Amino acid sequence: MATIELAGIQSAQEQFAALVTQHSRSMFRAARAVLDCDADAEDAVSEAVLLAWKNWGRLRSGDAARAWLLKITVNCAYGYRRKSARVVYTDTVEQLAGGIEDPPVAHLWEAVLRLPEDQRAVVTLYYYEDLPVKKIARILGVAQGTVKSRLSRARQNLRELLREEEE
Amino acid sequence: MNGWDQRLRARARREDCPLPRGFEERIQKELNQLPEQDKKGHQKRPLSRVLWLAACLAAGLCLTAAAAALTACYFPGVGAIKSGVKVWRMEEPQEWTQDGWTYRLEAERQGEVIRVHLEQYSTQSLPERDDDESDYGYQMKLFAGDQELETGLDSVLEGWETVADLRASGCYTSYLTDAELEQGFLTQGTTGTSFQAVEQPEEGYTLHIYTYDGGTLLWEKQIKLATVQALDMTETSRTFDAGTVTALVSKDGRLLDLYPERKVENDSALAFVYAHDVVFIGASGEQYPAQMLSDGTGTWICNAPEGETITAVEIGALRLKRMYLDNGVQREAVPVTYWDLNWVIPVG
Repeated sequence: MATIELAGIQSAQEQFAALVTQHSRSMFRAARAVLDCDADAEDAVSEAVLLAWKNWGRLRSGDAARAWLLKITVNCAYGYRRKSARVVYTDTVEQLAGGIEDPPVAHLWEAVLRLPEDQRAVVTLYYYEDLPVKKIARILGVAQGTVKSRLSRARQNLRELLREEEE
Repeated sequence: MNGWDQRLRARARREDCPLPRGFEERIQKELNQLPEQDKKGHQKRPLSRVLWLAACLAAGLCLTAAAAALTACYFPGVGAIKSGVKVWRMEEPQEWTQDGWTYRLEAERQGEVIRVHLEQYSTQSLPERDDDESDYGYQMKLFAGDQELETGLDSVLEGWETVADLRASGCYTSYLTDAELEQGFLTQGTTGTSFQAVEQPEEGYTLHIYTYDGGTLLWEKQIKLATVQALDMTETSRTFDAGTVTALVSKDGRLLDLYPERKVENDSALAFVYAHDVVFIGASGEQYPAQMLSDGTGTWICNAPEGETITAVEIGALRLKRMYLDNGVQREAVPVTYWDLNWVIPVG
């Protein structure tokens, strides 16, 4: 049983439900950063909720709860991608990436969605979740250097998409 | 953090990802209907792999995105046969050890895509990695004879996670199953690549696994894929206003899978089915609440004692969701839940 203590909440299911409710937006945001439509992302979150519930006893600290949920969600989202029949071949990659010919966008999330897939997750966790590079690396299962390089490329793309100057 | 980062974080608080309408309500409903927790542990692959069929029913459907993803889920039984999509896979993973790591190689083919997955395990808890270390992962090339297969950018997660101490706070073990932990593994890494399939040579495909930078050939492995056999299942269907659902029950009654009929009518198709209140009924009259496998298949299993004969499966409720195209844009309809079904499926 996880050792999360929430005032007035007793049962494991209630504790779990409170935790998911608190972080459901973050979970959806992370899934949406990996997947290409809301429906896929919601299904990944739904699967992540079930998976997290099954593994609830493995969470040893409430301090890690958000990152733990995000990691499971990201894994589920990647699982969706992996299981799907959709394969992107190299000759289409440039069309998907936020290129210099993209018209500027006014909304940050819209700009995030135009980033290449590997950059979207990093940007979402860094800017939207305020997570440090080290924790993002653990969630995504990549080296910290990879997170940094993806962030660097994402900054450049965002700057072009948002037509802003980096300081 | 520079001023640009600070500005972006400030904008992130204002310009957030919009949630789909009804998302929070649906999550709450799911939380209210969480299944019983599996007291027997986490079964990642409880059945013989050859019995699992990957059924892609998307062929011929015009629905995109979610429907395609959903239809690529794994089903045991007749799903693959009906779909017309040919499915191959290695009967058993190839395993080997080297330098303290245990490697497991798996491959499968669905239609025109071959996916290769390489997992590696260590009983060591890896130290924190320095930023300057080269990236983890492998490059893979697959050959059919002399022909190199085209590689797809199927963004499979690369990297590893490690469990420093199960008692430590903040450890993540979403990959490592209890069975793997019991084997003493504390670290798991995953990498994978997809390839555009060509006909398999008689001797099988040849896989070359290189270092991350592609500079050094580490291993050469033969991959021979075999068509999978259907698990012998009892099939029964039920039609609702939202569509037809087929239930597959294994001959021993201990496995239930459900899939929707994805017939497209008026740019709409049933895309998702989720069962609630599933119980397996034993010969003793005892009812055993079903537990969903945590491997993403959505399959329900029975945890009745081995000596108990399962005579029927009962589905209490079904949640169905349709997808439709609205002027070329895919949308999902409001899910419909059918309660008090008392859908009893006799075994065998």
